Amino acid sequence: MQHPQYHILLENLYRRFPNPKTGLLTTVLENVDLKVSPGEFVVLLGPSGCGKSTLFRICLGADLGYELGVDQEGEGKALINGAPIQLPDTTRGLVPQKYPLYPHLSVLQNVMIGLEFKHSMFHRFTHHKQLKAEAMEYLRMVDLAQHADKMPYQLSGGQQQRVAIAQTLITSPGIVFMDEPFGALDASTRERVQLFMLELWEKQKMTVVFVTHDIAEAVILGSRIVLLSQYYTDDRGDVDNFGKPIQRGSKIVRDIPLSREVLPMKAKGEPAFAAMVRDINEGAGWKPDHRRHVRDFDLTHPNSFSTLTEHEDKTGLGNGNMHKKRTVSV
Amino acid sequence: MNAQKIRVPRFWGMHAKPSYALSLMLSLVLFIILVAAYLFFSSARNRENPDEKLMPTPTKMFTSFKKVAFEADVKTGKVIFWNDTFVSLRRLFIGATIACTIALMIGMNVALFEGMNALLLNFLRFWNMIPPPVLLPVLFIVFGVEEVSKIVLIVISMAPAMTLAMYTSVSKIAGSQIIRSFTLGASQLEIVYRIVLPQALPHLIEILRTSLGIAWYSLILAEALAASSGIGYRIFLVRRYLAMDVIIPYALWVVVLGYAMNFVLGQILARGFSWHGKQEKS
Repeated sequence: MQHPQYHILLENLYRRFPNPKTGLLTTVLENVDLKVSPGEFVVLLGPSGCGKSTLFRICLGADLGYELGVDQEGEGKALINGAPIQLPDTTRGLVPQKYPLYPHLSVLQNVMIGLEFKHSMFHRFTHHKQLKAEAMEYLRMVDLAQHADKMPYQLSGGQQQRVAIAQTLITSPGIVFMDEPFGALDASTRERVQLFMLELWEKQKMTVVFVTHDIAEAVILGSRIVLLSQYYTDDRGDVDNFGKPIQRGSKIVRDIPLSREVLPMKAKGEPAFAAMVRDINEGAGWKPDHRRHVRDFDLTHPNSFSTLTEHEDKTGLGNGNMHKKRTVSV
Repeated sequence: MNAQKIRVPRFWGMHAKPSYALSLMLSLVLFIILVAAYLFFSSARNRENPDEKLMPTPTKMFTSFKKVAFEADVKTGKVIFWNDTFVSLRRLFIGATIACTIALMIGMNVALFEGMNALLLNFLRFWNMIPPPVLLPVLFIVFGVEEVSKIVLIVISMAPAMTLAMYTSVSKIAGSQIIRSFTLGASQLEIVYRIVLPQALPHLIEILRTSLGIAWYSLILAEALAASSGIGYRIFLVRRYLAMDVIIPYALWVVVLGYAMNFVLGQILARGFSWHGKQEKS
């Protein structure tokens, strides 16, 4: 298999849902553009209700109802590993928010099950010891080898999430999707698991897409922060021709690299860390009353790009902060 | 020291915390009242009329019970009580097994496969709305008055509600796990039989426990209308002679059997599926 340049490439991606009451379409994701290179730790940040989970489910192949806008260069794209998004498979791992493990299997069986699914029934039987040894290896990696024979309910929430990470990594997915995996943990456990996650990422160099609504967590973990938000303005104004407020779907309003010096946990008390958190918290797009125009988005990450429709950007100048400028029309 | 003593009521109110001994006593109170009242009225009526039928004394009940439970029947050579029990339990067991199989298979299919859901769900809801006794005449006509029609009645009484309950339970299990299982490389069959089925079994046992009442109800009903043996048959047979001295022991026996079944299922749940219902803990 050839190695695609980008693990994730979304261009002109829209997602609309019918409103159950009125039957009208509500746009949740509007003209989203995202490129993710192999080895990035992307933190997908956003206020609640911005469609983080929707974007996440689309990338996983669990939601095929997305649409692709058309521009001068043709239709938009939604590619994972260079190919159109497939139904969920082993190319993408998933660590969910809650109850990540199979309750009826022991910890070791939970980790081993990915290997068992990979091999035939016969191979499972003849190579049982080998599979078991490999699963133990992964359990050791997450420091839980001594709990191998326990049932998931006997572990704490943090331990369960670590087992889930081992369970996901054993199938060696190219991209690991994590949906607020540490959201249900208490503060001290959370810090420990975050640190653990960082170490693991540095060792394994996998691509991670990490969804969270916690700014501090985003700054600690990410090599790149992508802020998805419905709070922005564009050239369509605030009301349409009938005087009704325009309902906009979320876009990526901010896409910034994080310097690695700020990152480690010990730097949490440092001014640079606090400044970064404050910058995001008070920056555009996080709160409803602080919006930026589509042309002024803070898109400084080398992989970031933004395609704007004629309605969104009447001047055709595009985004000034971006590495790649392009204006398109629908 | 400023330890404040807060008075917690023993019985009244939402804050009440009855002690263990008190709880035990309270749980017995109504049984004691029932037995005492029965003994009182029974002895009063028996004193007035030695041929009293409606409220036989415990001695009379015991004598009659001994006759049906320990002496072989002249005509059949079988001990009536144990034969009735065996016949009824066999009908119940076969019916419940079939109903459980249907509930498990169809419930899982409807919960896991959208196509099956579209095909079956509304049909199941329709069946669930039909009171099973309405179909009893049809069953007697189609299956005759022998074993089959009684078992079929038990099955159609239990299966639709159990299947719908199973559907709800499996939907909850499956919710977050399906996509995750696919990302771990599971095939559809593996998801059904390695992931969902083992988790569905304890739910099936719970649903069966709540359905036992309906099972007994339909069994007694079928036996009352057409049978030549069985607990329901016996009760409705001796009803003609107002033989409360047989009916009451039989009714108590049904209670004992029900309790025993519930206990056994509870033990299976606790021992075989100790992880069940505990995943909520974080």
